Amino acid sequence: MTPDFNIPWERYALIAELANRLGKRGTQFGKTMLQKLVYLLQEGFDIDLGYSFELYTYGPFCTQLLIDLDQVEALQGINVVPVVSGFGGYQIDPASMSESIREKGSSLLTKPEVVEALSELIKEFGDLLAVDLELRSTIVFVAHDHSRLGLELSLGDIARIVGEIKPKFSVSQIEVAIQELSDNGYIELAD
Amino acid sequence: MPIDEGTGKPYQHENYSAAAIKYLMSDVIEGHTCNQNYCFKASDIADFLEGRTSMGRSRLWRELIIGHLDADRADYLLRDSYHAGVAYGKYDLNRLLVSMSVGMDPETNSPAIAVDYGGIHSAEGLILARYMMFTQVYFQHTRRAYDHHVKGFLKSLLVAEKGDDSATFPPPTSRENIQEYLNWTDWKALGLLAAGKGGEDGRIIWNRNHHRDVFETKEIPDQIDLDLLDSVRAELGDDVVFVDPTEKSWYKLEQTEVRVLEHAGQESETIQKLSRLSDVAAKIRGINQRRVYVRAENKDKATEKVARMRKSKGRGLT
Repeated sequence: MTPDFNIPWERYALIAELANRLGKRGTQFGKTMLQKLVYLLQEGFDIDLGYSFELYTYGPFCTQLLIDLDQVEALQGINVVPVVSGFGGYQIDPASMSESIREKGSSLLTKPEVVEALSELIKEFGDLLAVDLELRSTIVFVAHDHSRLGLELSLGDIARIVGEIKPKFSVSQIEVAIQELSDNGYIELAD
Repeated sequence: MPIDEGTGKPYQHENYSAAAIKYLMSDVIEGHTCNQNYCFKASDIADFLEGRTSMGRSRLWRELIIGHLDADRADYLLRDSYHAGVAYGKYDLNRLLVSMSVGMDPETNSPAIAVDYGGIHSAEGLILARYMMFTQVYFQHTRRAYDHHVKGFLKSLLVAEKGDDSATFPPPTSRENIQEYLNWTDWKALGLLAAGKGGEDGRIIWNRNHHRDVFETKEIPDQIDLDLLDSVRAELGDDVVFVDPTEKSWYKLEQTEVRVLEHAGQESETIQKLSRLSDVAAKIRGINQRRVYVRAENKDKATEKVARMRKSKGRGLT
């Protein structure tokens, strides 16, 4: 009998890798941004990491990802530092064991499709603010939630649903983001 | 559980609850006199349970079933505490209930369920009660062993009934399937257990001869713990029957935080995240413990091996 034993080094390595690539850039790489980027990697680039996301107040969210984040911090793969200025939140930076953890999960990080997806993800979304990622990941969530039921939504349908869920965004902000995601192939729109 | 083809992941218990409402309770809900003014459809309630995006602004109320202060955990902590004869799950429910409120969240510009400022400590009490119940009761090593055995026992029953090694419960996709699922009652399962039809795990449950925990990491393991875990697993080889990951986050910072309504009723009324006001909430961390189990008859031999490793490597071993 094979024991059901797995330490999810690949998922830990992904978190360490994202911190390594984004932690030292000008944009604050915090917990919200991590959640949205991993969601987009899984849903927009079809990289199955085994996470299940639900739609919460600030967009798609996965508890398991937060547990993994805590674990990577305990392993000293990242530092999670509270930010006291600006919007607050947290800053995730690489820490002393980052390289070792990325090495342990290298079977994921070296897959050609993952290498390509990570580059695209960071190019397309890495410079966005958490609030912009919140909007885009919510749009993808709404579109995919309906397409799983066999329903293709138009731009107007998605804009109306997202507008109800997230009234802080204007209709034009939502429509621009929907069009951009559709143009780049992350969602499909009905005519 | 069967795999949901739409998500590629196993169905969750919420999907079965939603299907039971949609397929079996629509006449009760839609025909009820109390519903004449509201015209709720059973499918609305099913969508609400499953968190479908189609429910739009009603999403606000989902906090009551999936949030930190949701009705389920508010109930089960006290109930399980009472029935288990422990005090770990007790907190001030009445204080929490009178503190519940709704306010405008300035970060989302939408209404949010919150607790009044005066109710902060009752909210902390619930979070701590959950932490204590999980660490002391739900994640207790013998109880976790029985989770494993019950899972194996049910799998054996399904395989025997359907004559297929990959048998699962039926997916919650039709009236017939949800009825078949609901026919799997405690009575049926326990009857089959008594009749000796539960396979190896059924026999273990019947004889109370559960697998034994011979090694565990710290609740939040570090690299040395995980390396030790690898070594123990290698040393014990085929004697290891399962490795149990007990993972839990007690308080989800940022994304799903409890909101606190400050200055209620005043011009300065606002909503703040609990972790900004409570060190308890800000600093409580999840656990990610792993335990190694062997068959009861191999416990002594495995414990000896682990003890020898403890001596040579020197830490983190039970």
